[in-house]
Amino acid sequence: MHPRLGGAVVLVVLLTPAVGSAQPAPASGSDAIPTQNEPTPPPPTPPAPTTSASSTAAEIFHKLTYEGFGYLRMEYIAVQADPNVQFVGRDDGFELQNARLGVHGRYGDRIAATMAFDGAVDERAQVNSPQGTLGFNLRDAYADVTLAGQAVLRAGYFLPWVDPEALVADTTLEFVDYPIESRGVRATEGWQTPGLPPGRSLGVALHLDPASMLGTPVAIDAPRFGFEVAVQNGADEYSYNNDNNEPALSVSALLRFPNDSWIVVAGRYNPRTIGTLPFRQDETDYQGTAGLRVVLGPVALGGGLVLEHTTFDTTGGPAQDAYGGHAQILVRIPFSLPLQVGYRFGVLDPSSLVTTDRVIEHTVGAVLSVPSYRVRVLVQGVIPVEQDARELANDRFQIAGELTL
Amino acid sequence: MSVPECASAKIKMFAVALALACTTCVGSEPPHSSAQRIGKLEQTIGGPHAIGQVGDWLLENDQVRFIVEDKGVGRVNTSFGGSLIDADLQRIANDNTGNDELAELLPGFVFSVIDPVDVCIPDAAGNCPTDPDEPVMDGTDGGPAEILVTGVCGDLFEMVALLNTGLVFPSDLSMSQLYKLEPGKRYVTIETTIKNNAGGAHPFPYLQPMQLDNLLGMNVPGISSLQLSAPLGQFPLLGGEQNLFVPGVAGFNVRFAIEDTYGTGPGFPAFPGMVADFLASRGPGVSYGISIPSTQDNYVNSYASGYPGQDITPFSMLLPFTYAGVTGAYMYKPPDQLNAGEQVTYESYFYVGKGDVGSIYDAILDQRGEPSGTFGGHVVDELTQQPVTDATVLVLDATGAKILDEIDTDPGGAFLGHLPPGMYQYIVLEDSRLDAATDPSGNITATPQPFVIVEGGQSGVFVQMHAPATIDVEAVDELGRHAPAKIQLIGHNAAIEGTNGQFVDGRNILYSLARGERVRPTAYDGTDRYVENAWWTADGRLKAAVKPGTYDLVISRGPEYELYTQPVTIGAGSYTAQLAQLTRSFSTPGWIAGDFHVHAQPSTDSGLPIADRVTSCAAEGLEVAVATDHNYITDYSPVIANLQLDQWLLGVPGMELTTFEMGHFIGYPLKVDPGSTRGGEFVWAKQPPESLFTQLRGLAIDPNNSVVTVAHPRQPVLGYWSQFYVDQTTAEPYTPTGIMGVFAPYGDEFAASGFSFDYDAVELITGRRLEDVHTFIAPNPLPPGPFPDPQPVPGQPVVGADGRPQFPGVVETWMTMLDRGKTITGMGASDSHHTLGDEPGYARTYVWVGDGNDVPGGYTRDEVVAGIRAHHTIATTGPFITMNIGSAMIGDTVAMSGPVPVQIQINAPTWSSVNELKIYSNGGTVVADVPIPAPGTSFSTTIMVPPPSSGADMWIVAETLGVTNQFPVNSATEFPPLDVSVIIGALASGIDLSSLPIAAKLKPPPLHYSKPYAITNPIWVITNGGSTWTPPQPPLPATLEGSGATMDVRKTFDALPEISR
Repeated sequence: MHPRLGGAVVLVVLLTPAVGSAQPAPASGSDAIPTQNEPTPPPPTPPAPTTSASSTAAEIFHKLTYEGFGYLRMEYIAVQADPNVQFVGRDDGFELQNARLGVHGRYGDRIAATMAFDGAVDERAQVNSPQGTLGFNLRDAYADVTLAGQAVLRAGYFLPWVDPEALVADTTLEFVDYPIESRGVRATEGWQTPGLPPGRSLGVALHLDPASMLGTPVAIDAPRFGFEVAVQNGADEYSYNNDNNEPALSVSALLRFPNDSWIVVAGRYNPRTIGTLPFRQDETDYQGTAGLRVVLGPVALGGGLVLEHTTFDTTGGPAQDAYGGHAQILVRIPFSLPLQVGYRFGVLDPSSLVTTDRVIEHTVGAVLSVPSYRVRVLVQGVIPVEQDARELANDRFQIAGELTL
Repeated sequence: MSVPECASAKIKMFAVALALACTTCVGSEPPHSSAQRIGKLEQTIGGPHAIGQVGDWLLENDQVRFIVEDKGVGRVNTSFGGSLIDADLQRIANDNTGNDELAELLPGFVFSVIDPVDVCIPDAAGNCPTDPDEPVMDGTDGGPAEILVTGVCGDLFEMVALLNTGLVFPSDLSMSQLYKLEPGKRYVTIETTIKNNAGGAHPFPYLQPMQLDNLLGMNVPGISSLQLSAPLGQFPLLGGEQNLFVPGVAGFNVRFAIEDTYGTGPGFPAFPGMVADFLASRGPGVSYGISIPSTQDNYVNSYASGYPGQDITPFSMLLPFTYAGVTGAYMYKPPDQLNAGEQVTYESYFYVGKGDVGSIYDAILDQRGEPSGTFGGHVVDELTQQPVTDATVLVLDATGAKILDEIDTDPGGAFLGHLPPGMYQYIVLEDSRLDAATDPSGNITATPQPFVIVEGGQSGVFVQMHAPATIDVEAVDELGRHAPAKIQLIGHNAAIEGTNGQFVDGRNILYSLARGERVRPTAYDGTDRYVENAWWTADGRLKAAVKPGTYDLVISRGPEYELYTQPVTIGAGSYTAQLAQLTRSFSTPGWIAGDFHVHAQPSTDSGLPIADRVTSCAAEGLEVAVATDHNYITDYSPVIANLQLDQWLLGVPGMELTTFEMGHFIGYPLKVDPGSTRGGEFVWAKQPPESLFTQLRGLAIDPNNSVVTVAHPRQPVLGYWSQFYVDQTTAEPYTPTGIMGVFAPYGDEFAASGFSFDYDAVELITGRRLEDVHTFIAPNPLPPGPFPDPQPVPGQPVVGADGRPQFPGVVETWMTMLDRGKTITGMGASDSHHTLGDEPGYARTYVWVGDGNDVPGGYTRDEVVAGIRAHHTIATTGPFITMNIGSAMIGDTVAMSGPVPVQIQINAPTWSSVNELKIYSNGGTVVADVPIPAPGTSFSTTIMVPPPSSGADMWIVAETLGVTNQFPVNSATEFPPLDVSVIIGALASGIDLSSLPIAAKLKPPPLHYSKPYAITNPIWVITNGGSTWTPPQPPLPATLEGSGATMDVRKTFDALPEISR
């Protein structure tokens, strides 16, 4: 079979058994966990589905529900000015971390769609450049079709669970930043390095999250199993189409617990093609990831691990291994408002071929929520530790304010 | 059906439709080729040197595109059409945004090239179809597409017509070239056919040396002992952007490697030159290559003993020369003779790559069907771990002594190339970083590291490079303005100081030409200074990555400013910032500085983007720049406006009309024809001078207010006066005799009756060639001899057998013209084709535009032209000299009796200080020679010049000189100029040419640093009380009589009964 048929066959296989057998599960509960892929706050429970064979236009309209969502987060960042490297630490000031707007629509309890846009994407003039502009970009654009129970077929532009942080919504971050293995190192904060997990990509997925029904949180009273099997282009984020004839395949398994705890493990295979004609090069990524969040009373433990093995199939260069991970602990402090303080240890080694590029981060932070105003205030201090040959003086302090729409 | 069922059905239908749609889009269009005549401009390729136009022929496949010029005369480079003029990769979008950098490729049989009679898409039999409905090889059948050029033989160089005629006797031969492009290939197969059209056998070589000797009626020493050969091949002109590469010891050092082979072999019958397995190039975004198959009639293998010590393969070609962008590639030995009607065909391949040698070599290995493996990997910065783009990965042989391949990294730092199985080494270079390879332990090292290629296998490496340093500079002028300025880093290295007064250049000390590294010009004066890098900025601002080290930061802005110098030390990965303010050295009220001869990318031998050209002009303090691309009308004005340089620089559209052997002629201001792929339509090949001048004026915006200038008039081959043998004592052409006549053009266009004085200006100083300014005087004492007769006299001009100066001066000839009433304007110009080592503005011309007008925006193009036409100009390499007689200024005519008070004012920056003033008058007589005391930066005097005792009117010219080294503003001439004499000398190996000026033992030293020099135009003085100025010598005639042309070798041959037909 020609490789280009692969994606189509997968699509047909996924669609064929699903259609007609989809049965919605009741959606309820208000304390379910919103995820990075799923908008916050959760949209209201849609009206019960009808089985009428003669739906009128009015009925159809009645079944369509829409809910907007979004948030605004601005931070002040101060980075120590490295005495030797001029692009590190010379731009302390305000940054708009994000300005997201989205809409979540549902048609009855069978179909839902999410579209979200980021209005403050950091678009750098070049790598390690202190100059950048605010960009406007697509964040999510996908539709879910219920197959059976809470299992959905997802199609569109989405982030797979291979990144454990996909399970953490932006508006529930416990530190100002995502962990280093996911975020990487940003320009002007150190030697710029991308994170390891894949970004968003176009594709389809068979997706079951026991704590969600078409984007609506579902309460669980016992450990529940979820999974995701995704077939995506695997090209660079924001790519219009695939970079080659091969899709990226990822498989994730999720175990959720009633007390907002979860464990996820995933694997991904992504044959990529980069470069421009006439020199296009094939490379293949093999990734394994794991993540967990365990809540024990006032203490929340979290962790993540990403392992990546890359082969350079065209150039024949030596294969590269990379890893990154974090472990964190947060403690809820008795206070009139929700308040948490915590510590995170993070490490990122982007290439085994380079013996000097590992970065360790020690982060302490606190989060204060003001639910009545839908506002959170986050503070963190970070001490990055580079290896000797690339050592920087680049400790940083960040304070962020977040308004959830 | 329920709604869900309905939805389900629709989704199923959609899925099926999607699946079907995907099945129909499986696969891609198969490789294809096509040949067609270009019917609209959108079909052309585009790019810096694209000259294809409607009526030419397009040959393309899924990989590459070529354009073959239609029949007729040559359009830009050589004299004939029908050659391959454009070549590029097939680009995405195919919207005329291509990247052709090829100048031209044409077949060569010794020095015969094709003079096309017809161009067509041939039929299956290989002939031009006579029936329009006849099937042709246009690729529609899925096979190769073809274009056929048929013609006769023409001379590429008329100057070597003797040699060519003797070897080939081309008038009996026809030549055709078939371009065959197969689908999917990145090369075109070229089949060149030579056919004997005579009634009898045609031997090769045609004449034996003794026959030539007898024929010419002269004795050419040594010629009778020669054995000759007649090689077949191609003449590639790969374009100014392309850096030639030959695998082996040469690498990218092709020119000097060829010259190094001269004299290493026994000479004829083996032509001298360098043996090459293939010829390739490296260029921005596109590269080219040439190779041949392995055959029994391989030229090099046929004369293998003629190339001792050189690597000979079954695919070897001979590169006898590379000159003025033309490289000779001799490939085959013809049969001993062609019988009547018999023909011989030879094959070669022309490749297009993605900008590096590696992509060419990949295609060559594919063409040869050789087994190979791949060598690839990634290159990153050791600190940032970011990809290093455009790094040079050099593949060396197992010993590291020879460079076999060069592969560029892509924007992702990746590279890949194919190599035959074997053991190799590699090293990675990048201009602002220290050399790097990575040893098995992962350590960065400057030592090449080994690797092995096995058939079908992969060998991959991961390379870290040392980080560059960053320098950030802001410079302002004396008024605090961010004016254009040149910023340089001057390095120091004791190894270039030389010994015993022998200066050395930086080759293999500061850089390696073989590795393709950039030249770092040295001071060439026994000091340790060299230019690590230079930037010409539009606003005095610079941020750049540089090689770490300790330097002097030097900022300049032309002669009107002193140098700003500041020591700096910058380490790997570090950042250094400097603020600087320039100091004015002198002002030039009423005068503006212009360079009326500069080149940019439209010139096939330049490659410098126009934006870089205009920025460099502004940064050198020029206020006017005339675009003078070879056979291409260019207008800098839009680029100047786009760069917001219009307050500093005025652009004037113009052209250097470039003949192959008659000289170069500049015209401006010219109209730009946007419908022409070369800015205007004109014919330069086979045209007499008067036609060239008339055409230039016809192209002018206002023919009555235009300027036609003779460029570098005394430069061999390229100079009008040289090629017409203009006598410096008469200013008229003469017929050379003896062996000088042998190496002279013979065409009808060189008839003396066609010689014309109808030009407005002449370059007195061109670039750094101060040796051409004045007639060469034998040094005192003379260097060790012996010398051919007549013996040189110390302190006197070196003369030839005919008693004429062997190296006549431009100024002396110009002064003779002044004596004879020809009042052409003397100019100074740079003829700059690049920037570093070939700076614009040195020399330059100051033009009077009127009091108070020498401010930004205060002068117009018409005022500049008017100033030149009125001779209100000063030619200079740096110093500024003005001359007045009362209220009369340079270029004026004044009536005065008795001694004439000549007021002189000289100003110069410290780096161009002068120490001598000379005043010339009628006959080129020096009427005053005044020393200028130190520091030589400001000097004024009044010289009383007596009127001629004859009572004639007179002209007066002032000149100032210095010995200061103008480095680093103006580079030294540290490499011998690429002179045709070297080539002719090599081709004539075994012949005694010592009586030729080009081969003379005593000649102006070509290597020197750049010195201060300036010369004014005349003030004409009416001394005899008349109302008009009368020339002191008989005026030059409007036209010349008799045969001023050189001997016609062909007619001489034709007159011989034994070979006439």
